[in-house]
Amino acid sequence: MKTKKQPETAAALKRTVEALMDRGAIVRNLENLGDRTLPYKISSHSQRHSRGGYFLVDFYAPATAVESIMEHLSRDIDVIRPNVVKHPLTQEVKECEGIVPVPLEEKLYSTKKRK
Amino acid sequence: MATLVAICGDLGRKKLTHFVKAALCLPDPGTHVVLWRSRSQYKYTKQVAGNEDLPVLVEDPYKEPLKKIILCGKRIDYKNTQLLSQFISPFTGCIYGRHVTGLCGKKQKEITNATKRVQIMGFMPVTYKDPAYLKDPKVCNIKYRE
Repeated sequence: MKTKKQPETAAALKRTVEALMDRGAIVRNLENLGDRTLPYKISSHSQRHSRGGYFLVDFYAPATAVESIMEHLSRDIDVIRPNVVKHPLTQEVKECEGIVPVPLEEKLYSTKKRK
Repeated sequence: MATLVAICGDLGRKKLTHFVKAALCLPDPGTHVVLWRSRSQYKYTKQVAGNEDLPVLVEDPYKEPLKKIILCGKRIDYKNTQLLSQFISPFTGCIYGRHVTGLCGKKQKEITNATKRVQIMGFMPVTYKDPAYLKDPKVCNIKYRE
């Protein structure tokens, strides 16, 4: 997820997607999460930003390419805050049966051996 | 069995002995009745339970299902700032502890990690709660001073 300045967004997006593909990433999807005022003023590349656009890029990439992607994005002036995150849908939701009642009496005294 | 004994008790002693000796007891299925053949002193019949009559170990049928927390079985997405904002303080923006939210270990950890991640990414405010989400229903058991 990144935030960018308002003008020249199309060109900047194209640049970043091309950079991703250069590093061997297969772009699946690009979503625009809207332009809004940032929750707090962010200063990057000697500039203070208060408004930004949020973009989300879905891509498959080898794990080794993450570092180079982050390096490239941090150098880009248009990108305020680059972030690479694992895809949330790959993580399974474990079935939880509920809170198991813990017998607190056992935890009151420690069972360690004391000399 | 009990009624038979009572009847025997009512009758006279002499009659009782005859009665007991010649009694045709209808046993319950699975039990074999042992008639006490002594005198009228022993007025009862003893039952020796068969194997089918012993108590069977069954799971407690009145066991209540385990308590489930509000987020049980649901996936927590970091983009879901509204959900995450429900677990932070509107005044300071600090994440509530386990004793306040009432979540289990896994979910609490997931929420804290997602909240920190989203705050660092510049997607959710850190020191306060987004004003648009102030009217959300209360999930945590915390009392604010009026």
